[in-house]
Amino acid sequence: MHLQIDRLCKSFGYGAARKEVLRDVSFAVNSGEFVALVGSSGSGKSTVMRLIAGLEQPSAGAISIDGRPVTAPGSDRGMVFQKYSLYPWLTAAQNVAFGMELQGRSRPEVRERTAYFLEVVGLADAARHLPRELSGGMQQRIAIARALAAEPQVLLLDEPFGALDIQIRESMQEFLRDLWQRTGLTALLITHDLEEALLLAGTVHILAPSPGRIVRSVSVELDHSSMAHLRVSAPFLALREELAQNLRSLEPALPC
Amino acid sequence: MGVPVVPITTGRACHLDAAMVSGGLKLLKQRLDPASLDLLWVENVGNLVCPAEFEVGEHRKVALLSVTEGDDKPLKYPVMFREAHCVLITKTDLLPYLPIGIAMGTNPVICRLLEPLMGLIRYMPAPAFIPLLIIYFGLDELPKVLLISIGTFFFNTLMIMDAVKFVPRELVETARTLGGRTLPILTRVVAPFIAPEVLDTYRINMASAWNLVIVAELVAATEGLGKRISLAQRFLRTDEIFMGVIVIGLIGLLIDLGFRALMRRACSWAN
Repeated sequence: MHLQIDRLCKSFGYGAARKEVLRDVSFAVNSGEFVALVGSSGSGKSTVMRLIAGLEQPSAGAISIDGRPVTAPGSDRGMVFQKYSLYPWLTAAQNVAFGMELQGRSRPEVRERTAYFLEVVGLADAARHLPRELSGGMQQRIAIARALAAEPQVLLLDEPFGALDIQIRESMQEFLRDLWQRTGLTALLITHDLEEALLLAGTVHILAPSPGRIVRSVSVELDHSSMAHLRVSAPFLALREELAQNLRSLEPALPC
Repeated sequence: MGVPVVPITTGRACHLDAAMVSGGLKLLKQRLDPASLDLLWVENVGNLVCPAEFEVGEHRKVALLSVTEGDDKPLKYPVMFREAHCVLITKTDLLPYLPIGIAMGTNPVICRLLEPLMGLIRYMPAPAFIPLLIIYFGLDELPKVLLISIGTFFFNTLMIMDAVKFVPRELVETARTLGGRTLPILTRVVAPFIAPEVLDTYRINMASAWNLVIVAELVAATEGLGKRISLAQRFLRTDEIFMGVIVIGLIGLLIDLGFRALMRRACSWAN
């Protein structure tokens, strides 16, 4: 699988109200890679994600998977939103099964895969619970299981932990890293949290705001074997500080 | 309930015939005296074609048609609907999910076309249509049904449209990224999400529908609670008027409680 994003531009509105959101964004994601896009609010990072998902059309540029252009949403690109994306009237298991049912898979297959992916995200016990009975972290794990169960070629994560408390965030980051190592999934993560991006991704692209454009790409070569150690290790902190300064310099100066 | 039941296999046929039913009756005879029966149900199987063409000795024929089969079925299978003495329409709870409100809520073009018209008609007082309805449709049930439709349809439609507009974007987009197309998204995402509000809309508008029943009876009826009240008025029997008004209120309350119970059962996730 090769996801290619080529000179992507996006503007909203017309005439004087026209706002340029993205300018010439290019990058690629290959099978098994974990790539992160980091930017502050207004850097158009969610727009990149919506374009890749096919929920919006680019103003210029192209997105392709293995050479086939992306024009509409499809189950080859699974998406996990920041919040509100579980169906509140379905149980956790029914939510996981939802996408597979839309794909028209057979009942035994849906049942088997649902059980398997609930197990993968460690929530087999919560199968019969409604989303409102689950914590925010558990809900996002179900959303990830639902996206994975539909067998996407790439998983698009749009600030998946942005609405969670800091402690739960940290455990979810470890969960996601672990999941990536176990299942060999391909993931594209959007976040405003530099630390999160460096902990999880092998490649980090930094987006500058107004209009959104990639100003720096870093390949993260750190020892990821223990996330708790990595968080406080000197090379990690040095890289984080360097990139943080980079990000800060991109912000327009605050008027005094 | 202790009702004796005899299964009949149709073999390779797609329906019952008289010989099979006769065999079934013989089986039944071993268990009880047929003379002691008041009513014998024969449940025929399959489609809407063969069961209409083979008599199995029945006195009355009832056809069951579910809402989800579509409204073209009486045209497609006329024999069945001509032969049946009674047609029972099932799964009517799915009806409110249907057309216009959902179409207006999801499609801005349809919405802009219809909303002004709906807004206009909504403000016309339904009782003002009574003389017209009587002139065009007489004094039977039809004008009363039409009156209630005029008085509630537009409110219901606009309220369902609003409910659809509040379906969170993420729920629809998640379904799209999972490979969902328009129709499954309408039936499996939009419809279940708005179901509690549709029921609530119906509960609220039931009050005006119930009002209109009484209004219709006051003006054009030969019997009914409204008619009784207007008769009582003519003879200045205030006690009967009070009684009538109280009974109307109680029936309304019961309908309301019924809707609430239905909502608790059908949409427990929203409570």
